Amino acid sequence: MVVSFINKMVKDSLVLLLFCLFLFLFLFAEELKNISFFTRIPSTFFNVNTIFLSIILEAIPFILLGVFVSAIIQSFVSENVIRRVVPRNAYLALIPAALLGIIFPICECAIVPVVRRLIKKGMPSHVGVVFMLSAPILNPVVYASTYFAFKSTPYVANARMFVGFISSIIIGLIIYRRFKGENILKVQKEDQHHHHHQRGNKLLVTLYHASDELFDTGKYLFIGAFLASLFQAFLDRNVLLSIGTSTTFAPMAMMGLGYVLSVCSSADAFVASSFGSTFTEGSILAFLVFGPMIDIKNTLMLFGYFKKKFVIYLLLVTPLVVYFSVFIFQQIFL
Amino acid sequence: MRSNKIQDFSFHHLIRGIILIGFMLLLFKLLLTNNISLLIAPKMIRFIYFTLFICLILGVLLIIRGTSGKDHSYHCDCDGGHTYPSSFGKSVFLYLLFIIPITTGFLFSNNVLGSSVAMNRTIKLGATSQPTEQKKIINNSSNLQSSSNTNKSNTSNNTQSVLDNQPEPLTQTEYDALKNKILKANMINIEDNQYVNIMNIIQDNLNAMIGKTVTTKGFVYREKEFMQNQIIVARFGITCCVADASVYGMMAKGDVATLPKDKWVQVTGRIEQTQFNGETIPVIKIVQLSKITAPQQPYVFDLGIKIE
Repeated sequence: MVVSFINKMVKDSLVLLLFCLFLFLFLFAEELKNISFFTRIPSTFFNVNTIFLSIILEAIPFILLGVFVSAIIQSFVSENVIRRVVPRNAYLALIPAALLGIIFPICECAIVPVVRRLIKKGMPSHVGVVFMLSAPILNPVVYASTYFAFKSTPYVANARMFVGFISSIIIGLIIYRRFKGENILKVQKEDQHHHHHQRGNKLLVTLYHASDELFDTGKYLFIGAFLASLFQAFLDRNVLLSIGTSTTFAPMAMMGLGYVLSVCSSADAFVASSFGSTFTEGSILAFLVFGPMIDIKNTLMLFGYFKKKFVIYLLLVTPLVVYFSVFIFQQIFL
Repeated sequence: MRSNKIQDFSFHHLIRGIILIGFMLLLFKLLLTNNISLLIAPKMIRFIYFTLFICLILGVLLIIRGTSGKDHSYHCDCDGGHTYPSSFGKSVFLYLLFIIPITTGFLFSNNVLGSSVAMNRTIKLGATSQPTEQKKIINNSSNLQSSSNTNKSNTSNNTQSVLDNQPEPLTQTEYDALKNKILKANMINIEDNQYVNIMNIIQDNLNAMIGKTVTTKGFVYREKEFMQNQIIVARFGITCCVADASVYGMMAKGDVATLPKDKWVQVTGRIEQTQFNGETIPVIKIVQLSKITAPQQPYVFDLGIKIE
């Protein structure tokens, strides 16, 4: 009894202390900066911090959006609707799934919670995966930004859409063959679950639900963003230039770069265009297609939501498929 | 045992509420001090307002939920999808993950990227469609395509205009007007709000630009291979957030050996062309150079072009 009382006291004071810390920082952060201790911190730390913060600030609104869409699907879309909407033929269902991004332009941060919810609601896993991989590429916002970034070579935008479409379908097929009928989502103590039917406000429940999911997703986002900002600050991209002209290795290198940088898919075209003419078209394409599909920050989110076996499989299959799609595309068109 | 668990949850709700409020305060402070523009592009700021609002609501809600102690029985019907950390150590790790970035955000958000970051990025000094050895046919066709750019964008992209959500990019006609203006002008002042567009125009039409006088602002940056008299007057161009910053800039030649890196300068001079790393790039022959203080907004923003 006494122990639990002390326990509660400690926790409450911790919470209060935390609040005071935030309030104090809000009011007096400027004054603190003059402390001599901070001037001794190397400037790379500040750069990492700045890049990290900016990734977080950019991603959080879309995570929130994804979380709310997921909550809305949870509350208002029934299993029956999904069963009716998705085509019965497993192969036929892939094509509309790959094009869904045109109507729902969701970026790669927002899509993971949404897809998890859809799969939970009965969408076949391979259809969900195709939607997850293609939506961040095949959407109007991304098309427009790619078109602008490669204004002098406009076919890059079209090629990106095309290769993105083809590779996500192929990945969907492979996933279908391998994980047919299997549950790819993480199972979390479903057994002890007891249904308390909520009498209260449905809106309130949705909001509680959203806040829980925000923290669930948020922790992976924060770790992922931190890793990405380390790569952003320390990886010398000029190292890549030496292999930029090789048709075999350059796409690999650029895919690796797309993976570690974790730039949002609506902005990565500008990063790619800064590599300019030193890289082959194929490698730029590989960067533009692979980066939005899988990168550090959404890998972590995937591990949070899906079974390990599935995520590892996806992490192996996706780069291979993208690489070979780009390679073949290169042989035919470039 | 059971009551302990409930207690545990309300503690989690409380601390999560406080973290959300803290994050909200951070966003509010960034907006107040305008340091937000050192992190993300102006077009993204409306999303920050949205986030601020949501964080406030969720934060207050969670604090109420954590203190009232009434709704322990709450169980969302999401198949137990949400987990709370099971041990004290895990809780500490989870919440520090959020608390530390918020703290450093308050303290160091006014940092501006400089040469040390630029060094690790590739910098575009010449036109993208510059022909090089390894690309044969593609480049010829791409050059053709760039000249017929206007027609192409008008025909093929009608569908995109509705969903294009960039706030105030130039339309293709405005871009062409700007291009004509620059092609005709003898004095070009590279203004911040059209920086990326003007740079692109100069790089893409280098032959027509030679001999014109140009004025540009930026920080001093040197590539490893640079000679004593060469610098780049560089800017970071941002599309969405600092993570996608790429380095723009023009090489300048003159008596610059003593200038320290990252110093902000304004350079006026005549455009010439030179070879660098196998590419033909513009270079400013410095007539006048003045040291300036860093501008309020050190970054330039890549608004893009509205496709109609």
